[in-house]
Amino acid sequence: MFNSLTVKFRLVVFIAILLLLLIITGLFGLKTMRNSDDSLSSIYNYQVVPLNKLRILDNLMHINIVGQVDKLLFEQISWEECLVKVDKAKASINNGWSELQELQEGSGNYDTDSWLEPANNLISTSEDVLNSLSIILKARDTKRLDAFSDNKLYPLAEQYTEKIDTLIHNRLNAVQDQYHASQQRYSAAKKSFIVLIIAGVAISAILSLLLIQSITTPLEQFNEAMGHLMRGDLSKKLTHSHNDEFAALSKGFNQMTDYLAELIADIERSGIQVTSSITEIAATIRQQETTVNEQAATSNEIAASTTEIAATAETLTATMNKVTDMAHNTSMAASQGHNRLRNINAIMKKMEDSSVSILSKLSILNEKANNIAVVTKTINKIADQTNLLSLNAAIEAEKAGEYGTGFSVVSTEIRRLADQTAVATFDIEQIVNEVQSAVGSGVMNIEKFTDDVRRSFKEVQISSNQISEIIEQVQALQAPIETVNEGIAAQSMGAKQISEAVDQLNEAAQQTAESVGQTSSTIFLLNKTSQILRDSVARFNLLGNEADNTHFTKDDSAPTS
Amino acid sequence: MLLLLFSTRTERYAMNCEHIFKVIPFLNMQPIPMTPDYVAGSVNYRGNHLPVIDLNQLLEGIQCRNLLSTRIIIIEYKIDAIRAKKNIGLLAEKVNETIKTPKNWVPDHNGDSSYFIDPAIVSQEMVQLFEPIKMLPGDLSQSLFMEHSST
Repeated sequence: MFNSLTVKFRLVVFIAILLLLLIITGLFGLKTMRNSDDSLSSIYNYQVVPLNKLRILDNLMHINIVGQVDKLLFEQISWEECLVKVDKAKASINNGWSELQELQEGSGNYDTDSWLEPANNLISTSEDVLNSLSIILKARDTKRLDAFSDNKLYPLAEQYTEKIDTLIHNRLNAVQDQYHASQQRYSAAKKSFIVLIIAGVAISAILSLLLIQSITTPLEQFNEAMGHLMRGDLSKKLTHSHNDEFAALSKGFNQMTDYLAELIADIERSGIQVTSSITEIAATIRQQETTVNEQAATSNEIAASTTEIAATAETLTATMNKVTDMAHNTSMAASQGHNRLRNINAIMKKMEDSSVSILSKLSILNEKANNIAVVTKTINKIADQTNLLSLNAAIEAEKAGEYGTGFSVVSTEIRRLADQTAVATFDIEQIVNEVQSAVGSGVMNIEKFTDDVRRSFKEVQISSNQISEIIEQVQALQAPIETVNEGIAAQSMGAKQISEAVDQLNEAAQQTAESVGQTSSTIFLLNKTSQILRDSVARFNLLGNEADNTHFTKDDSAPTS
Repeated sequence: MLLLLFSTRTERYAMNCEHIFKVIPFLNMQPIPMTPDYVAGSVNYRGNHLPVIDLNQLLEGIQCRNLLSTRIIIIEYKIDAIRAKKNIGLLAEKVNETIKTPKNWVPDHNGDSSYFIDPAIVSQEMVQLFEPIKMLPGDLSQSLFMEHSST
């Protein structure tokens, strides 16, 4: 019967009972508190306050009336002043008494006896005395006042003090009585309160036990089911007979378990797919890595080649600049050469002419030398003849013996002369021969020279024409050289740009390689994660039979990067 | 004694003037057939046939050059005691000097055909004395002059 109720309803009922108990207890406590408060306030208002007022009245009588009258008697104050003060005190005393009267009437419920009755007599007496005092004061009769104060006023004051003391004592007794009464009331209330609390605690304990049991039993079932779930056993189903919130919860839990089983199966399949995909990706990444490395190497080679190209282009540029300069110089030199060749042409013509004249002069010289040779030959012959004659003469003289001695001397002298002549002519002949040979060779040389000059003249003319052509060609060459130079400069720039681009490419390749490496490590992590995932999934027992677990563990040999 | 000097290519010779008839200039030679090489030929001297012997060829085997100083020395040659003297020409180079020897000078005999003169005499030159009579072989001169006589 109790279990068919919903937990909410059970809780509401329980809390309502508890609240009811609380309210009852509270109301009881409140009532007791109010009683004690009432008694306390009545004690203050009707017992303690009158005590103060009585004390004030006593003081008024002693200080304001008796004291003033004494002062008047000793002539410390004037009559009028004393009268005013006495009247004022009289009014205050009357007022105080009337207030006390009111208080006594207000406390009718609490005080059975009228405690002020003993003082009624005193009040009327004091009124009479004070009235007569004011009459005396108005009359300003010192003697009467003196007698009055001795006979009436001082005894009244003493009576006053005595009466008020009695009254105060009575009041204190009344308070004590009331305290005792309230003590008794408190002990009675305490007993009933204790009973009430014990009953409340007992009721709430019983209800709590019931409630806790009705909640903890299904919770323990849930806990057990959750334990199974945590161990990966998804086959456990919850059964709850009662028709309360836990029924809905267990239904939901069962549904969740089913969904979880489906989900895990899906995850399992996905995990296998992920593993295979990771393997493929890893292979691809490895290929990519090698490709990137190759690319890096290639780009390095390209960079080196382009650097070389750039260097070569720079060298070429320098060379082309030199070539340009040289072409310019060549052009200049060729034009200078052309001019010089023209001069040479003129000079050669002159040389040809002068060589012809030299030839004619040389032939004349040769003729003269021939003449000299003829003359010397003649002289030589004559000398020879003379020598021969002298020889024969000497021989004849020898044959003549003693007679031919003088003749022999003459013949010897003649022969010496002839010899000297012969020697001289021989010298001349030698000189002439030399001259003739020199002239002959000179003529030959000059003829050869003339021929050379003529040939040179022709060659110079040819050279002149060739140089003209060279000048034209060189001048024509300057434009293409400039073009080539510009082209090479552009090539150099291009090579540099290529080099820079290749550097950038290289950098990019390196970055790619790094990122490939990172990707590789990421894939490794991914693989590891998928492994972990598969391990985690393998913990779950989907249908409750162990045979199904084997096909997870089989895939543990999946490749790792 | 008067010596006539002449030269071959390498040697200087001196000849006694005793046998010399005359020295004449070089003339064109008529070759004589069937004679040794040293017979230069024959010249016409004053209408007479004069055989000429090349001394260069005879002494050193080299022909005489035709120089101005190349001359024909005509000597009187006696073949034997019976026959009359015959003139014969000796062709030699540098025939242009004579030397007068001291009176009591005797040549330093050296062999049959050659005499050496003191170098001090002929201007510090070593000169060989040439004996023309002993020079020619007998049969040759005979044949020469036989031929000559036949013509």
